[in-house]
Amino acid sequence: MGRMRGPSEVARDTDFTAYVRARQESLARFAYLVSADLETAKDLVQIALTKAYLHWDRVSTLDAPDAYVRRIIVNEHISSWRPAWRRREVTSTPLVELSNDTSVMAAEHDSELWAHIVRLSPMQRAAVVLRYYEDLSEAQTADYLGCSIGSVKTHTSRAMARLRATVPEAPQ
Amino acid sequence: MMPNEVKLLLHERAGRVHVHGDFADTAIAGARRVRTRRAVTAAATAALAVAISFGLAMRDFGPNRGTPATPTSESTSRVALPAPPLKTATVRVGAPAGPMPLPYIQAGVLHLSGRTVRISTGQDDRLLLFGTLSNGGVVYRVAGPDPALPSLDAGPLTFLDRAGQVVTQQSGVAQTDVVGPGDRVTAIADSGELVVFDGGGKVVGRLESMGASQSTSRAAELGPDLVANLAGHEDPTTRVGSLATGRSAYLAVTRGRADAGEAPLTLHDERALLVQGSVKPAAGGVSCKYLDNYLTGEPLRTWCDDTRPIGFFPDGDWMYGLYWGRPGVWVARTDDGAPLLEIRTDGATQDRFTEELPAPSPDGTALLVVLAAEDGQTVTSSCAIATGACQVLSDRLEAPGRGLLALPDNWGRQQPSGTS
Repeated sequence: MGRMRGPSEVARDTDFTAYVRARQESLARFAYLVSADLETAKDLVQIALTKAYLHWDRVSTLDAPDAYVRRIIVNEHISSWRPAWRRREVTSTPLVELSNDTSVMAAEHDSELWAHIVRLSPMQRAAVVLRYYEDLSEAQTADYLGCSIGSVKTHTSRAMARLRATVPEAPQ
Repeated sequence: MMPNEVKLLLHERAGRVHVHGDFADTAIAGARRVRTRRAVTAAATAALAVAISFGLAMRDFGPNRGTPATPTSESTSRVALPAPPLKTATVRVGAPAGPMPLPYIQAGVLHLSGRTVRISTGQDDRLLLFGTLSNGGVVYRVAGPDPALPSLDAGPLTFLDRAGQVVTQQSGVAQTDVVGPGDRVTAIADSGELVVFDGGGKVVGRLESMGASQSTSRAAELGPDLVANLAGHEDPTTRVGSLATGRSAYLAVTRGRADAGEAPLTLHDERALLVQGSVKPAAGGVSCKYLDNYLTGEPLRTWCDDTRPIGFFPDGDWMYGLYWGRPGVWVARTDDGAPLLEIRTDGATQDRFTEELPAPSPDGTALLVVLAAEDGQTVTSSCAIATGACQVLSDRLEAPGRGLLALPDNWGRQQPSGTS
């Protein structure tokens, strides 16, 4: 038999649920770009939201809970990429699915560019997504990635150099 | 390939992703499972800790007890720093010249004067604070597993003696910083008070709360009573308080600039030197820096270039730092910026290591450079500032967390033993 929840916990769950329902699509899209994989993105969102819920009393008072959750997504992805720090407290849920709308036809050049973005290292791709999708500054990106601004510059410039070297210019 | 092209593609790809279902229920259920699992783990860990403590105590009273190791540096001489001309040094990967002379943490284990102490149990733990004390001990704080805001999930502030035994643990602190000389450790308590500990972990003073938004980026001891605390980047002010009265006050950071992007970059304790500058350089990687005496407000020097000051040598005569957009470590004279030493990495080393983390040795004769690779491996070298000669101190140590130095935070801010 389940434990009875008190009024404060019910209110907490209601607040958390409202947040998740409003933001889950945006978070899933961000996780997809960071991981370049739908299944991984689903795991990342679930892990991030689980961890956010564990600290929801504090997280809900932050000016930007989204930034907190996105930071977990980035950190979790980079950590899981490093076997030494891999830790799995949360298992994937079968109750939620992400889909990728394939009815949209992409230009050949865009498909090729995305294929090369997928092949970037996790740190490089995370830096590119934070800089060019989230429009974060180098300092903010460094804060997200837990590295120096110099490292952000290195990751971003190496990623862009790699894309320039492997993807032909877009047709005008 | 233009950034705008990448940006458009990222937005187009993101727009294709849709969620079917509700993450809220699964997240709440998952969090409850995690709480249950952690409670079980904590009980097992507590039982293990008792067993280990008992085992260590028995070992230390045994017939083969070793002589306690001495502190790593006993030097009390102050070396006269040479004047420029500029010297160039090169650091590279190689075999260490001898045993690692400094405490360090690798894979959650503290290596202290030949002893090892496990300070972390989780693979996701992060090191928030790691400082050496002049009694040969260390102070540290580990957080985990919250990956976004480690301070939410931080453990106690722990003081170890030179033998690696726990002296005391302090909980209820939100942020910490090691202060030197004098082994003062400051912490922002959950209440907002600034709490100051001595090297033995005893509370020597408290400063009143200055508001809920107070944060700290660096603290400094200004003699036996006054403590200065630089607030975070969002709030570029300096707070100075008296340990005797518990009263403190904000000082407007000396220049009162309108540019919110400028923030405290580094300070020197005894000389009350403060460098402010832009946390984000302008086009071309150039940023302007302002050196002031932050107690008197006297402006001392202004310069604009691509340097990023990190800190001062112990006597305050020399500064060191990195560059905004290129690799390299520099040492320059504080008063006039005259360059003394330029440290570079050789080609093969530079390809492998993406970060350089410099810190002066406590006696001020060398600059230590930790090279960190993307995979978390580090190599530590020491370069004599008098000659530019470098030697490898450690090879292939693993940092305990991304971007975190596995070596003490307070090198160069700690007075060598016997002189304080």
